[in-house]
Amino acid sequence: MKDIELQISQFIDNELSDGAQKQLFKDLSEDKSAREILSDFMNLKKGITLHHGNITENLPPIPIPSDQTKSYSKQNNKYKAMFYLSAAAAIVLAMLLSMSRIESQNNFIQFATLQKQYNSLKIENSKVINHKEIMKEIPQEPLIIKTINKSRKTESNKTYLTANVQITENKDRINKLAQITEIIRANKAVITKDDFIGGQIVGN
Amino acid sequence: MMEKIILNTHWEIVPFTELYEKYSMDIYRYTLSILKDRDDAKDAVQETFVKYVENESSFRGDASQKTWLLIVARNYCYSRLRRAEKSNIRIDEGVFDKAYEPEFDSEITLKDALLCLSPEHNELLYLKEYGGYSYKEIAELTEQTIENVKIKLFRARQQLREIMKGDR
Repeated sequence: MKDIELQISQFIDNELSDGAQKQLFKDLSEDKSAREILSDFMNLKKGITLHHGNITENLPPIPIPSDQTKSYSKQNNKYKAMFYLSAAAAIVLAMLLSMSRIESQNNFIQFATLQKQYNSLKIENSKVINHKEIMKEIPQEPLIIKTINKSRKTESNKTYLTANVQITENKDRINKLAQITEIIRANKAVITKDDFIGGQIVGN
Repeated sequence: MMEKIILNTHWEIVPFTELYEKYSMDIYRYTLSILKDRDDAKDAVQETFVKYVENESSFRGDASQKTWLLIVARNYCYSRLRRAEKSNIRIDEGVFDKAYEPEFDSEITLKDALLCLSPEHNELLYLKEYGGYSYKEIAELTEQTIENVKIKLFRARQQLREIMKGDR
């Protein structure tokens, strides 16, 4: 009896094999109490389904735990912070890149200017060397000594030789020196770090 | 408050409330079948969904979301029953609330008969008759063999029939 009841239970659960089903139908046709059990089980099945289906309840909205919310917001903040950080880093990098390009351009311009100046100085330097030749023409005597008066005085049979001597500067020499100095000054360009203000060359 | 979002079984982002609305009643019915108390069942539903939110990252499509929720709910219900047993509190003291209290004069109803069953039998009947799960699925969900599920379901029906007939 228990076996057939178990089979009935399996049958209404739709878990009985085809062969076993055939056997069960045969048994059911011969056994009235088995048919009653089947009927009861079927009614119970319907009743249970209905019973659960009819259960209704106003379930309150689920409260997500505050710490959970916090942790999620923390996570969000973390990702936000990471996003902003990476964005800022990208902007800084882009700025640095553009600045380095400008700087390299400036450096190139500066280099070109310096190169130009250097070349011009090179030429002028050769001129200065030529001025050395001129310097040879400068009179070597810085002073001109002129004797204005020469007189002899005799006094009590003693003879004294007196002379008025005038010392003057050698004007030719001075003029020549002034000329050379002017030339040198004109051709000489001294570049110091003071000339570099704000990355630009000021003056020569 | 920001709306919590989750991934469903099709890997689509859905709001948490959608999941809650979809499954909360079924989880409630399931927990009620085990705990047999409406308030306890409500607590179980809340706990289940809170656990789901907490452990959502560990859930990844091995089982359906509903199955996952049922497992969580089941674990909660049985641990609650065990705690109640340990502290000698009869969990079914509140079972016969006004809605379920049988009248001695009238015939016993299916509701009352179901309340007389053990939580395990009730659970199995719910899963099979209302949930429509197969023996295999029930066996996986309740962590027992298919044979056990088959026999326990039969015993539950047999017991229920006897109660309804007034044999017990």
